Amino acid sequence: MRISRALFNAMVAHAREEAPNECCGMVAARDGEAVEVYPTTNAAASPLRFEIDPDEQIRVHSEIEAAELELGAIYHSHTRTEPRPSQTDINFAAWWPGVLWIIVGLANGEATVQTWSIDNGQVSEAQLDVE
Amino acid sequence: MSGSHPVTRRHALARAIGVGGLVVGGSAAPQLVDPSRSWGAAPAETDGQLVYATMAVELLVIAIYERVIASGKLSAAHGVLADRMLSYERVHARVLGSELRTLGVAEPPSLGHASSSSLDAILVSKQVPESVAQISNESEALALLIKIEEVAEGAYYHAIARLTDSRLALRSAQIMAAEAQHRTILSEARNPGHIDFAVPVAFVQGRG
Repeated sequence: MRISRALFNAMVAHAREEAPNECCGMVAARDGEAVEVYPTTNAAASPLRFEIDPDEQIRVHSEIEAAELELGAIYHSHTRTEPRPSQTDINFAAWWPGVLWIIVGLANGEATVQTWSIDNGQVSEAQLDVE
Repeated sequence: MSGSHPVTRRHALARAIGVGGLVVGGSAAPQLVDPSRSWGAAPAETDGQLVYATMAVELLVIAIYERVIASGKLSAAHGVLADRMLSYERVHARVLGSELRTLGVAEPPSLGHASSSSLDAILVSKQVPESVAQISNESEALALLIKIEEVAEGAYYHAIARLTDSRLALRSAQIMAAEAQHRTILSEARNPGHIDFAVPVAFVQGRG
């Protein structure tokens, strides 16, 4: 997936704002390019997990549909650990087939972003080109 | 009848007409109770149980869509239609999953890897005679999708009447409306040119 520097920075900024809790949000895309970042509320309000607020899921889904875009990625942060999918993330990903997972790691103060494909429990790193 | 037993009289009246709250207990401490909890009626389902049940049906719907699409019996156009509807069913499941986790209730297990015979057994339990194991043409494939959408409608219909959290009831109504739209489109797809088959009903109740 390709993403502009501005959208990339928006995700990182959201992660920093929500720390020490995890942040979460959705990325709309068209033809493999991120078009919009939708920060959402972490209903779990937790440093260990995230739960995209159901009302916001519906709202964002409707907006993505109305704009004739597709859901390209889910992003969230790991404020204490490396930006690799946890087992919780892998389990959660079963509900979002075909969607990339962008994780913003803030464990050492510096933001480290990694992107993952999680398909049927199989995790592989994916490309996120910041342009 | 003596006038000294108002509670008993009210019991009898409510029992006769089957409506209304009841006053029970001693006269010094009357309590209003839900009549559905009285006289051996099934205990009220909790919101968690109701959302769990609707999500379980959503997972069944998803599994059926996946099998129907994989059967290869749908035309290209109807395959695209089914793909889109499947994506919406997944959104429903994700939202319900979030609601369940918020309620502290574990999600029902996915049926993605269930055998066709297991799915057929579940369909039978929902009064759906169509078989996921024996889809021989597009008409049968669409008929199965129509029936499973009716099952979903029925699950939300059941839940909406019982959920105590109005927000969850609204959520169920939103999804039930979507399922009804799906059924209408599928009916038109199965009976092209016969729009009368696809005319939405005035009051959606569903199956189950």
